[in-house]
Amino acid sequence: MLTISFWNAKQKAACESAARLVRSHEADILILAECPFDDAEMLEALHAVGSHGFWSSTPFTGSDLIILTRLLRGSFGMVQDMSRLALREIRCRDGSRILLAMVHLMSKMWRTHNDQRKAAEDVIGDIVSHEGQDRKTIIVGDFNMNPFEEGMVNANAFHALKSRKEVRMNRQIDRTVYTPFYNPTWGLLGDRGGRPPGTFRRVGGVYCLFWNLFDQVLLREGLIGCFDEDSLRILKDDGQISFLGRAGVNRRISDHLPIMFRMNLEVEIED
Amino acid sequence: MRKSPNSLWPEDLVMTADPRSPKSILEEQAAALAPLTHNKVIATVVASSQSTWVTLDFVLVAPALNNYRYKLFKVRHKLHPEYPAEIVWDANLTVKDEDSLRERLAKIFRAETTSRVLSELMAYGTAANVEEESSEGPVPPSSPR
Repeated sequence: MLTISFWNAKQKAACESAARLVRSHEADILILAECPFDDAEMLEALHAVGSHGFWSSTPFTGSDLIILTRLLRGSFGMVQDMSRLALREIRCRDGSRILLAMVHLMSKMWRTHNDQRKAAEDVIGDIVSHEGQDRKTIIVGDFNMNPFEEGMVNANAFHALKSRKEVRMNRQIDRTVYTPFYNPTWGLLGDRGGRPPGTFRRVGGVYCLFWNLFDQVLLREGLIGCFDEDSLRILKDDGQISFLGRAGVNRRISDHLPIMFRMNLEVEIED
Repeated sequence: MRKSPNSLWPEDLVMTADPRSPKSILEEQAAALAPLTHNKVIATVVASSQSTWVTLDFVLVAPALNNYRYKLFKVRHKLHPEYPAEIVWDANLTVKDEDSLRERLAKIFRAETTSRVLSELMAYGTAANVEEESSEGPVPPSSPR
């Protein structure tokens, strides 16, 4: 079993909360974006709560992502980094290789809808060019777009669909063939069962969603069978401190809520 | 090789790569980086194509960091004509010819973000070399990676 957590953790206080999350959910890979602390501080916090064996695979430069894992060093390899995307390879016990793409895309604060769609087209090109023949790829991160936006859905962008059935087949549009992703995060839209209705809340303007689901996970069809669908959750607290406040999220911790999911993949863990 | 007397093919059939193509210009600039960094950071151009489009990734490689790769930007253009080409960097830029490509590349290479990326890679690379000399293995200064 492989447990992955992503959090746009904007405040210093999120460091200890992230450590408690890892501890309580036994996460194997922790990905953070936009944090005001570095990987060394996060490793110390993990050590302090008794989560051992973690090491940093954080980009050396040009990225605001922090990537920590307790997978065996030989099981988690660097592929390539760029400003808004980090690529790593997970090597499973059975010899299969998974491409893990971690993103933090441009905010709506600074970019238009069209900019975001164009950026999605560029990023997916970078990911596809590193995929193996068997296309076993996971994309996780803060896309700064909702699952229903063009940058997420368009065939020449992330092509991330809500139906497992629809992702079984490639689509040919004109002369180009596009392979879709399954986006299980669609299932987290709305507040069913008292869960948070999204991961990021912003209020303003006539058209207002209040809650946005910017933090998502996408899977290639070949990995759907390994995905534990009940495990995908938006986390509301770290066991001690609530991430929710009166006006949505507790901004003293972060303006985003973390997500977590599990894959039925056999991996080797550091002692 | 001499042409067969019966051949109708022209003598100059096999053409060399156009030195003014985006790929040639990027490769020339990639080759120019290593001497400036004393080989601590080198650059390589990775070409791929989809349909009628060519993509050229300009990738920085730090040999001392287990060949860590950081893609600085990419250039995309049609198979033919090769211009205009699009540079995908912090913002997407369109260049109409060789001169404007060179002009934009110079701006990217002088940009603060590029300078920071190169400085950090060189610093980590230097630290890794020092660690290797003391038989501890390549470990960047701030944290275990």
